[in-house]
Amino acid sequence: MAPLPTPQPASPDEALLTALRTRAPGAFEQLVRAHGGRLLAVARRLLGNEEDARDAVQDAFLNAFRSIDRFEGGSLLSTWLHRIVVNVSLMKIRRRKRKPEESLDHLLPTFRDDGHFVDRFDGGSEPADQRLAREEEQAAVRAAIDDLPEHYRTVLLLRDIEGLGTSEVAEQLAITPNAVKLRLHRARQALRTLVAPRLGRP
Amino acid sequence: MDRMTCRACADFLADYLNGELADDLRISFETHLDRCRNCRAYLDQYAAVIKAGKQACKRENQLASEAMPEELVQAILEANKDR
Ligand SMILES: [Zn+2]
Repeated sequence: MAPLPTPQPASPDEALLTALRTRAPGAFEQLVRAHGGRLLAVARRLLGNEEDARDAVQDAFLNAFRSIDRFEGGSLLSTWLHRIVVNVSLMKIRRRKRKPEESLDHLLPTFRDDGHFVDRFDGGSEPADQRLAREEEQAAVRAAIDDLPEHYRTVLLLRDIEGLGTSEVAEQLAITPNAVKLRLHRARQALRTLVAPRLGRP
Repeated sequence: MDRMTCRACADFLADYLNGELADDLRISFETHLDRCRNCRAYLDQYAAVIKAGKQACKRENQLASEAMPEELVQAILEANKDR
């Protein structure tokens, strides 16, 4: 005998989903108002300009509305929309004229022949974690993300900020999982170098 | 014996933080870290920068979710009508 379906806790998602599926008046507008701003933030980060970001959000909502009947309800509506806006944004990045791959090497740590770092990182007056707990320092880290070369920035955003897994990112960008890991690590190291003046030295 | 160099240590940071280092490598890594202040400091900074970026973006999401531009809402509703 098939097990009885587990009763789901009533969620605001379910009411909205039903309204969307029955094309209830105002349902689509409610979806746009509830989730649009958040999606816009994601698209702005990935695309780096307001016009493209707004386009991406618009496309994402139209795609979502068109495929609402295929939404299984197994995940949150917000998670599903997030995935769609990431996909749309990545498609826009792919369509852009490819810029020559910018090097990141000058932002990576350097080593002496014996394998020691050339620079010293210890001895700051305050632990890095504590220093970067301040809002203005975090804003500086955020701004530095925009200074990373695009294909490093994209991997860092997808993995560390948007929370996609290594294999998902590999698939999206058509590169190997190892390339994703390497790019992420190099992007993080470069980001650290960019904000190093804020980490303090003795 | 500490056989790992700082250079190797730096290469393994991401895997270490992800808990993905094989046991023998992890032990070498931790042994090096125990003895090398500079690598400990580098690891701390590396981790702190990621965390700060996440927190800043979380705040950015929060602010943006309260400020969806009205003209974008209208443009989306309009585009959806046309289809
Ligand atoms: Zn070391």
